[in-house]
Amino acid sequence: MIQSAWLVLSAGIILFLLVACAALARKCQLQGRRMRANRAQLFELTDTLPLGIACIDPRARRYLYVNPRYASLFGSSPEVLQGSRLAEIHQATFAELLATRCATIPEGGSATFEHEMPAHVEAVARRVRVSLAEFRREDGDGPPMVTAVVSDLSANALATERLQRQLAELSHVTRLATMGELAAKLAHELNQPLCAISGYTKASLRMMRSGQWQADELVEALEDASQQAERAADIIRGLRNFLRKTPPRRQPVDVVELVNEVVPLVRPEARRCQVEIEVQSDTELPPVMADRVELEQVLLNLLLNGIEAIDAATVWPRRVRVAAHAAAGGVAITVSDTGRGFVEGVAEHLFDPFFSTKPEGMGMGLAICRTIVESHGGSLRANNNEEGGATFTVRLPLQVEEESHAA
Amino acid sequence: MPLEPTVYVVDDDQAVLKSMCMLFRAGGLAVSAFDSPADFLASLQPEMTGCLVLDIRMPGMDGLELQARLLERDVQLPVIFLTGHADVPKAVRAMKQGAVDFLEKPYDDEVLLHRVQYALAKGALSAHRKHERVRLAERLEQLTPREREALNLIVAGRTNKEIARQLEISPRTVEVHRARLMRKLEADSLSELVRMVLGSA
Repeated sequence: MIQSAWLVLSAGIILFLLVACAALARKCQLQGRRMRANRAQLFELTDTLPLGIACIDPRARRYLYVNPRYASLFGSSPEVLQGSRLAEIHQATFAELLATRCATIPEGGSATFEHEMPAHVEAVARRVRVSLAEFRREDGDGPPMVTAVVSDLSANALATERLQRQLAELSHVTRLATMGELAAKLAHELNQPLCAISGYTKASLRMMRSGQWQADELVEALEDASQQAERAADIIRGLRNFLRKTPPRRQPVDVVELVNEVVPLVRPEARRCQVEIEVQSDTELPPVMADRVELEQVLLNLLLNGIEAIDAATVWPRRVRVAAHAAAGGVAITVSDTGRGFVEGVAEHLFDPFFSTKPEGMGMGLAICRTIVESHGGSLRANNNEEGGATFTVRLPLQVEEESHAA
Repeated sequence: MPLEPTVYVVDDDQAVLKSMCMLFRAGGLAVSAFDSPADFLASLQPEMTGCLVLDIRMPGMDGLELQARLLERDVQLPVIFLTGHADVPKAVRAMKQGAVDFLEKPYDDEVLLHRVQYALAKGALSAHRKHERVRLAERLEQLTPREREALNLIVAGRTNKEIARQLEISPRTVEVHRARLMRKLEADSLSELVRMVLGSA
């Protein structure tokens, strides 16, 4: 009886325990499901971030989690990275650096470092910035973790390059636009007297051919025509005066520095044309008194011309060499290209206004360059290189004689 | 009495204006020079015939605007434009406003004279048409209301009988109206009458 009572009690207790367990299990299951849902949401969020994010176990030197962006920055996928040791994934220097930095973060602190991938490593990001932070679990269980946020600096570098290219293009376009406007205005101004001269002379010819003419009428027409020729000449004189009258803004200019500043402006164009730019300047040169902006324009022009000369030809090597060095009584800047050089007979016209060997050329670039250099009391010469290509040499005196730019 | 067909030249550049006038005179044409569109508008007369040679670019009112003003006033002088530099939108507007031609400076004297001659011929034709229209309007004024009604029906191709029925008069009276209106309009035949009235419509 007691036995059976015991049995019943045991069964009751077991049943109760079973029910309680089931309820508990149910509760745990619900909570687990909710937690899984939260986790999934969190992963969805980090998966779509445009930032590379990873969780690293610093002791095991393993990836616990990476988001797709992180994996793609290193040319891999989250499936490959997750669970892998750093050394299995990365090139040795970077793996070691990352592991050491992860292990040495001060408690609750963070660390940041930048790293350039060696050229032979096939990584999407050539240059990365890594920010590390210690990650503490609320429950304090499990291994300590470090979160890593990686940004691609080469993307920034690309943007900078794009900006520079746009700047260079802009200066090129502005140069052409100013010249285009000037040419259009000049054309219109000259058109009027030319039109009148043509009218007077054609009318005179007509009258004389028809046999019906009076001497005083013809004299008047010819006088008017010659007056219009004078008017055209005045326009040209005015233009010359205008060009000469720009007030010189002379200041000491370090030519080596000038070269170093202008070269980056044309690098994107050079890269586009697969032309290498080599700078070979003396380390130190005395400053010249010059208008900095004008000299920049000259150099920019010569460099772009050099690149264009190479681009127009299929030659090898493809290189523009620019150098600033000391020369008798001053300094010289030389720009040599490995293009085809210029043909016989072209050399003496290179600096003439409106002379161009390029189909879309205005033919004002070199003419303006020479005017600028000469206004500084210097000279601009061009010659063919023995080994091919052409060299333009700008010579600038250290002291500008006052008379030399008043002429 | 219309004035002698003349080339009216408007250009703000004195030398261009004078040389062009000289060229037209040497080509045997009557010329009148104006150094501004305002000047030309001030001396504009309805009897003027010939053509206009206009510079597009002028300070104040430009050539295109002058052309538009002339259209507003129903002045039928054909216009030739001269321009310092080709400007497509302006050329399009000029042609849409009925310009005969659009020439660039410096012009070729042969081409210019040829185009001017063409414009003069065109101007003469439109002057003739305008003259005819005015004369017909004057003659139509002389018709009685009844004669006008009869005229409309004749031109519409109705027979005397039909006209008589519609106007509720005898066919005999229709014939009287018909004879009178033919005389007043100076038309020799029915076909001439129809052409005259329809041509002016």
